[in-house]
Amino acid sequence: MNAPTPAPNDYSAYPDAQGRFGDYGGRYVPETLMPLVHELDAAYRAAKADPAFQAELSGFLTHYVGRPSPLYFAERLTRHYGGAKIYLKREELNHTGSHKINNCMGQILLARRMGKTRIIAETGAGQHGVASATVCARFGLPCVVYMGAVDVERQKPNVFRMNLLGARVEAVTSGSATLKDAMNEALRDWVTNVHDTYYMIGTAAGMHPYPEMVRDFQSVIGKEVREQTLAAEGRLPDAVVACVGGGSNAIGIFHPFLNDEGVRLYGVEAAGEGMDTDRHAAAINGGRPGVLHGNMTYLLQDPEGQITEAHSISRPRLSRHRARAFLAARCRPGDLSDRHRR
Amino acid sequence: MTKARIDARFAALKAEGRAAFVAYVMAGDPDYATGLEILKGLPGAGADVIELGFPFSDPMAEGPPIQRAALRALDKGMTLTKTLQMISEFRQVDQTTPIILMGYANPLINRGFETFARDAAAAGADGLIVVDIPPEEADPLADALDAEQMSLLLLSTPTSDDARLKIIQKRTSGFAYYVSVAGVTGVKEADAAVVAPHVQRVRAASGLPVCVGFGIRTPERAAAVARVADGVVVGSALVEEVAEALAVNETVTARVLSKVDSLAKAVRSARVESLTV
Repeated sequence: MNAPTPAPNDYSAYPDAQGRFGDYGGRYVPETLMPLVHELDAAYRAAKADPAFQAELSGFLTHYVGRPSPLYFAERLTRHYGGAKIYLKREELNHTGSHKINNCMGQILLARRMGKTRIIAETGAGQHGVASATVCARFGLPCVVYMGAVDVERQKPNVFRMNLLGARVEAVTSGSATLKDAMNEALRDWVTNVHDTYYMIGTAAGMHPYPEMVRDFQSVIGKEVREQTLAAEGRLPDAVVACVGGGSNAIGIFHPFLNDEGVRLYGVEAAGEGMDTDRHAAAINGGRPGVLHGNMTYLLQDPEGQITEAHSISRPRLSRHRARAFLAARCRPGDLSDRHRR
Repeated sequence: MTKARIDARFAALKAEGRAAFVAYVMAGDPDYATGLEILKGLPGAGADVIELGFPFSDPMAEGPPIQRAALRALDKGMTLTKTLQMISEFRQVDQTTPIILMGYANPLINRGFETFARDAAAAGADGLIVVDIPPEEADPLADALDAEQMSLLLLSTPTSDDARLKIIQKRTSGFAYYVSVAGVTGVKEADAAVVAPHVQRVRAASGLPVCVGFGIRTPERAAAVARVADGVVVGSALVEEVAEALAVNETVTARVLSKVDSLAKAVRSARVESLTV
């Protein structure tokens, strides 16, 4: 597994034509889906280069999502820690209450452009499900959201919201009945309904071009942070910190800073009961590369290559000890620990 | 030795003028000992080729029957290593029936393609189907298998046009596998009349015998497909027999092999019947 060698520290070239971010990414899907994946790739290439598409997306982000979201100076938090000036990017103020809608808005416009008439999505806690249900309601498309039965129980208010928006929530009981199984079930739906269905993936995962699309649609976060920091401070930030689950908000805020040597990027994974236990959700710090859901990435897996469940607690604790920027390939290739180790 | 075993089997079937019956079972379902007993019994019950599933926790293209079979096997501690060990034990009693391993990429990546290919060939496996490795990602695996004279069988599907069939067949050997329905295993039913022209397309593109799988559950349907294809694959209907036998406390091996027997008989007599009709 030798990474190709683009110009050092230039991450704008990724992914390559095969959908690779160095060793990672790719298109590991059943043959039935492959023609569709190529079709999606071609449609996305065309949309990405089409000023009309970008203008339409920009209009909806402004008038429907409510962008730009504020960059808020957290005065008391700054004083509490007594170090860096801390700003918070207020993605929770978007319509539907999270960053997820940035990506959903981009993808639903693409799905419409492709003439798809039915949308499916997976969701874990429910934020992507709610955002998907919302954009489907906005454009009048039927929406099926796959959600692990365990998560349906844990996150009832979000299930209620999705139903209210007209989406059908399918409780997935296969496997461990959580997010990874919801994604398996969505893929099974897609492979069965290839001709009319668009699969709206919510995180920086899945087969190419999904990680690239999610990155591009979420990069609006980082672009705004860049402009807002320049406006507020007259300079770029010293560091950007983001939580990493699937990675969509992290790559969204990091990507516009990837080539800025002076900006340190910290991805923080949920350490659960600790990195010395197997009850955590830190796939990058505590996992190994492998293939799941269409891409090569860091996975929590056992010694035989079986996927293990991410441990989730209701109030995730951040791992202060392991807050290194190690973003694997969803964001950029290779091991970032050297550049960012303190 | 390995690719040769597949070629020899299909050459013999061609001489007999009949289609192959390909039986899919999940290794270690419901446990290692029973799984091995089933495996050893398959040729006698009429399986011409064996597809041996190695379990994966997240089988994205499987319907509920094979998902559950994988979980049963994993619950009893089945692994890729033990799957290869099972093939070694099978080879002590059968040196001629081809075995095609079938599963998902991650356990193979975890082991390393070269190591896997060496171990699998040494155990006596002949070919490999990996559901989530399409032609675009197949080269490293195909190279590793080539080095051990093992076949990689890339799947053709209803969504594969002629241009893709060419790409698929570039790295396929042994036989061509046509997935008869767009969907997961064991849910939709295959229609022999719809399948027939696709089989001809795949045969023309590959120059290989074409076996048809996904959506074949009954002897009648197996016979119908056997009239238009070079082989018929049945999987979900067999692993469901495991589940049924466990549910009603019957002998698992006898029940599975009895189903194999009825399907194999239907495949063997299919063309004879069609000639006399």
